[in-house]
Order: sequence, then structure tokens, then C-alpha cells
Amino acid sequence: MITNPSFPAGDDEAHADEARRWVVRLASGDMTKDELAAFRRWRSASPAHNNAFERERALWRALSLPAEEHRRRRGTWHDRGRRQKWSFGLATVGGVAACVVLVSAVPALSLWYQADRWTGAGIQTMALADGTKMVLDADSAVSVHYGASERRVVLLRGNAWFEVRHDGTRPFRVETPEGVTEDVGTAFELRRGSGSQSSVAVAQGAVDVRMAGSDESRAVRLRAGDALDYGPGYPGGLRYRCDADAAGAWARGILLLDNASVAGAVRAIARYRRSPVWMTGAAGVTRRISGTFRIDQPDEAISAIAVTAGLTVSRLPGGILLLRKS
Amino acid sequence: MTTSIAALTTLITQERLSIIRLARRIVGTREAAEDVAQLLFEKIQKIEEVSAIRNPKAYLFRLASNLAIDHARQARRREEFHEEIHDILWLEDAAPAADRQLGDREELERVEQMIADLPEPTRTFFCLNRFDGLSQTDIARRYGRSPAIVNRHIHRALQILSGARSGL
Repeated sequence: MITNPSFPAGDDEAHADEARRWVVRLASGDMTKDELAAFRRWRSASPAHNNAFERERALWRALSLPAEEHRRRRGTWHDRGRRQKWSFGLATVGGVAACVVLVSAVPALSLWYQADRWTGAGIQTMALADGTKMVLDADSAVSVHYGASERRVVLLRGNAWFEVRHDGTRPFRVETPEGVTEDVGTAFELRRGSGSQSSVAVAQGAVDVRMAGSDESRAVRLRAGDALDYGPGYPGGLRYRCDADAAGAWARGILLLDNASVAGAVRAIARYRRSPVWMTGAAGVTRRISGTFRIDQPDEAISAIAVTAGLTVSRLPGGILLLRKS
Repeated sequence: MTTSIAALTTLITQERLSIIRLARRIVGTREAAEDVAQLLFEKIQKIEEVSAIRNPKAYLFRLASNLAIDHARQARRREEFHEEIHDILWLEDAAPAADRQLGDREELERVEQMIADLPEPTRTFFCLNRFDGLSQTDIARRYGRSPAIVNRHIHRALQILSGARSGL
């Protein structure tokens, strides 16, 4: 133990705790520019501050979990944040593969085209060749590759719900750039957000998820009521429990909102309208929106939210709605 | 022909898809492009001297392009800002004395046990942030708490775990 005679013990502990506070802010992911400036000022104010910071930071870096838990989580905060190149890693078979390769090479253009082609503002239910039911959410895009030995769907963007027909000779797999979900006799929902994140929730049965970049033989098995977020921001995947009935509720025409912001809620519902919804003044509303909304009646849902949030709704030409502070 | 805010509003609704396509080329994602379209809409509501605009369509597209460029620049700056913080926390070298924390086997096992013994929800919040890389706002959202509370828990966890160091 090293004691520094120039600084009484009480100060040491005060500095240490303040240093800890800064380490926690740096690691929070929410630090602001002002906070960073304040941290720099504090740190350079005295060698005691700097030493305390380096000590507490070293502790933060050194923390570890037991080996099995580490393996389960696969990575730590300091492995994250580096741009990861994603690749589909698909087996190439002729013309179909060429189409998929085009998509990954020029994502913006092709996704746009495919999204308009598959679903505009509406949800579409379709039966795949083997009788599997697939429901595509608004603004979603897939490409389907059924063959003699496999049934493969690639989810390019948005959300899809599957009720899979069992076929012992051909596994059913859904891919996103973040990994592959394989059906084990189920009904499940897969979501792909714009931030390179995929999410799967199981309503019935089980699925196996193999995450891109991980050990190929290792799969995470999820059962009814399990959900997993995976992608570069979630090394090892983040597993949690979900409401099995809520998973894919949108596929049954219901949108569930849980503590959403007003702007977020309106945006979520507006996806089911053909014309856009414009908002002014919604950012300042602190009211949170929770509830069940029918997707086939988006205007009623938006009116209800507007009333709750103290906004008025006006109709502009072309079916456009305008929400404004009253 | 004079331009009015109402006329601009009509124009932006007619040209919406083209504007989004333009914005998307600059900002990269559909979501960001839609944010730009929303911003554009709000901006045109407040234009002064609107009657002086001679070519409203060109004006709109130019404004959209500028907003998209600003948006992309801000996103880039935010990215660089996060990298800066990450470097301070993880890459910066420290003075050798400070660096020696939790050296031996005994200390490591002690801290692993202390993490396992942390009370809930402190333990979950701490582990999600430190080992799964979730931000405090992500954690707060997932568990229906405020980020300030999550921050307090993680700070508390670090206070408890600092007791693992020998010689204290």
C-alpha cells in the first residue's frame, strides 16, 4: 500500500470517489460535450485528481466475470464500437445469389426498390411455397430462397413474422447480416432495425440463433417467451424474457406501445398510413404513450395520441396529417 | 407568381419521395433521411421573405441538401466524440503504478465473487453496462427507470468493488 504524506487520508477517499464518478460517466455511453470538458478540467486541476482517476480507471478495465459468463457474453465494452464489416456469408448458387450480392453491395438503392415493391404502407401476409405463413410489416423487405435442401429467407429491413410449416428434410432459416435464426418448429418474430441490429422473439416452439462472427457451431436456443437482440452492438447477444403474446402482435393487426415518446409513437403508427404525418412541437411533450392500437385504424390511433399529448390534428391535401401544439 | 408557405408545404408533400431519395444519398439511412424531411418541413413553416423565392422547387431541394449535409456532419461529429471518450477510457496508457490493479489470482477471484454478490438491480445494470456495452439510457429504457438511477447503481457497484483491492 502506498501512502502519500502530502494528502490526508480523507482527501484520498474523496478524490477516489469523484474519480469513480467520472469513470462511470465515461463508460455510460451518454456523456455530453459539457461533461467531457468538465472532466478534463477536474482531471488537470491537480496530480492527485489525475492519479485518482488513473487508479479507478485501471480498476474498471481490470474487472472481469467468471470464465463461463464471459464466454456467454463474448466481449466487453472495450471490444465494441469498432466499425464491423458485415457480410452475408451466403452459399452462392447461380442467379438467385447474384440478386442477393447486388443487395449487399448497393444497399441504399436496392433496399429502397425492394421495400417499395414488397410492402408500402400496409402489412402483407403471404404463404411461402411450403405453406409457411409469413407476415411482413410495413416498410419491410425480404428475399426468399427456397431450394431442394433448404428454405431460406433473408430479412433486409423491417419486421417479419413466421409460422413455419415443419419439414424434416429442409431446415427453415431466416438471415440478417447479424446472424441466422433457424426454426425448430415454431412461430416467431424477427426484426431488423436500421442500426445493424437484429432481434428475434419467440411466440411458440423454439429457434436456434447463430450470430455472425461467433463460433459457427454454437447456437443460442430460444423458447416461447425468450427474445434475443444481436448484432455488433451486442456481442454475444442480449437475451431477455418477453411477452410471448406481444411478440409479433403487429402481425395480428395490433401495435403495442410501451412508454414510447409522443414523436416515437406517432412515427410508429404513421408507418401504416399511405401519406406522411408531420409534427411540430411534439418534441417538447414529456407525456409517454403506452397502449394497444389497431393498425387498420391508424388515424384514430393518431388522434387519440394527439389528444393525450395536447396536440391538434389538421388534415392537409393528399391525406397528410399535421400535428401541432394547441 | 408569388410563393407562399402554403405553396411550399404543398410542394414538399408532392416531392417528398424525391427529397427523401436525395437526403438518403447524403445521410445514408432511410431513417435519417426522414428526419431531414421532417426538419425541412419545420424549417419552411418559419421562412421569412417567402415571396422573394423565385424558384421554389430548386430552393426546397437546395435547403434539403444543406440540411442533409448538416445532419451527416453532426452524426460524424457524434461518432468521433464517442471514439474520443472510448480512447480515454480504454486506450490511453497510464502511469505504471496506477496500472497495477487486481494483479493476482486471489484478487481476481475476490472481485468476481463480489460482482456475483452485488444486490439487484445494481448487479444487472452494472453488468449490462460494463460487459455487454449497453449505454445507461438503453438500460434505463429496458427496465423502465431513469438514466440517473441507472447511473447511481453503476456508481454504487464501482464503490463496492473498489473494496476488492488488497491493502485497502
